[in-house]
Amino acid sequence: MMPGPGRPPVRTETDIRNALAELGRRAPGADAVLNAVREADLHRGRRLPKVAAPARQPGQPRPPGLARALTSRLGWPQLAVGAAAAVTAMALALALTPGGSPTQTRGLDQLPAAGSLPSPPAGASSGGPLAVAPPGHHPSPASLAKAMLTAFNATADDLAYETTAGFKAGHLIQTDRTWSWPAVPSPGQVQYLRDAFSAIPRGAPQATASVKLTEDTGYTTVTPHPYGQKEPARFITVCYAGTGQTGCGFGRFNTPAGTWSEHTAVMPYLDATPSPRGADLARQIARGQWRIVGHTRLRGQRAIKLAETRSGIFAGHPVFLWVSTATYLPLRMIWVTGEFTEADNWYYLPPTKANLAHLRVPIPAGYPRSG
Amino acid sequence: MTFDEFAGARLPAVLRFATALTGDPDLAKDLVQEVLIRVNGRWQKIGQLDHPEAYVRKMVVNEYLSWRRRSWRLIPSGMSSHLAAPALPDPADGYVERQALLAELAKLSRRRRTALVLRYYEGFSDAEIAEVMGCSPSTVRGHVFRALAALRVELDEPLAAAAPSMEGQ
Repeated sequence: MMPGPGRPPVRTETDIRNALAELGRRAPGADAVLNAVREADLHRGRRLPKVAAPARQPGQPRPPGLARALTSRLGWPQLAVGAAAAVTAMALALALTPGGSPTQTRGLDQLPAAGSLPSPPAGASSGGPLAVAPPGHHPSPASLAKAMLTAFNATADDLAYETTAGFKAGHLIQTDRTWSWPAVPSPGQVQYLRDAFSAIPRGAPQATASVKLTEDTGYTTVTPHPYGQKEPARFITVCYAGTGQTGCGFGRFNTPAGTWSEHTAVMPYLDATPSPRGADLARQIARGQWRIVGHTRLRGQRAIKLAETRSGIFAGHPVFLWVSTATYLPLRMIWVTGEFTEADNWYYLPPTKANLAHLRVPIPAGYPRSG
Repeated sequence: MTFDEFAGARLPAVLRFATALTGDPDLAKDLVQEVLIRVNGRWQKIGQLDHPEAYVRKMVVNEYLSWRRRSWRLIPSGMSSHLAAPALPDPADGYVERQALLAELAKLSRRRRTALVLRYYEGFSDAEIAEVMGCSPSTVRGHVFRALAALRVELDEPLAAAAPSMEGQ
């Protein structure tokens, strides 16, 4: 958007694409639709399958791999429900978009060499503490939101690390670990993401089985300029054997289990920065979509605990948020729907060499390259 | 490919497309559900096509363009509260502007909106859009031209032969 002085904003075709893509990610879950079709089909005695990648409802387990990351910058939580659909959309985009062909090389020289890790920037900071209210006192929603925005801006150069744990009936059924750097990328900047997804092996009893590393994906791309929609990107995927999955990946970039692959292509930009963004949470707090319910300590820090109000996006579902009063960054969110519970934890780490090493996807010994 | 395989693999993508088309996840669900029930009943024929998903997508478009049994909301759910909320000077201003753009998209006529979604969401050519919508490519360009003008969109490249003639408006 390019608003001029006293004039309405001038929009671009990219704005339209981005807006529609965001809308598409709000797609409802496929299970409900299939259930309705199933009911209509009962007289024929047919049984329809579970959808391979159903869109995710609050509290339900998340889809594997990059699916979580692909829903980022969507103003969580109203868009989190489209997480799984993003995987399908990505596959479709790769299949339908000429720029998605892995044979194209336009702009690929913008990417760093394969296997290289970013160097720590000089003088990078993880952001200092902000004083809004003395410990033990509740800040106003407006001041809390302002502090969170300031803190969020200060994390731009940090390595964002997010962990997610999904529980069903109290049993851990999947986890996700995502590293993203920089936490708030600017146009033209190279973005690095790694997503390690673990789940109970397919077919194993959910009530007793343990989660197992299933898929480890690295994604490197260039943050688009306002006029850029397709950007060079590199995917490195390790698809672990023994998970009950026959393969991992997206679209034509399929990686059979027990192998790894690396693909480079010019493709539609995938926003893989952490979600929900601190800015979005701050906005929701300022609007009264969260209320402060008390102070507590979490991960060794004083924290404000908030609960979503009825005006919140998930009204009716218990959703809790913890915000550090040391950094005013979100620490944790827990959301519950029925028997499903999800706990998200966020960490903003200084971009040291050791921390950035987490962005590298390790290739297991003996795993052949399949693509 | 069986209907089960098709539904299992492609339904999320069809739902995404329908959501972009309608601007409302609930309406998209209803729309796709109606279409899918018909697809299920006719799968023996549809399943034989080279591109069953393209056919289903066309059915979704036709259903969307002809659906008059429900009152369609002009603004997708949740949009109005976003627009009414006081703006904060924060880096998420782009998000707010995007909500405004989505609200304006929802006010377009269905045919103009359909043309935009097929062009900018699906990446279809004018000829492909014309095939899906059952009109001529010049009419498609007309829809797109008018829609972009209404949304104050500056084109990356001039739209070729944007005919002002409209069908079904």
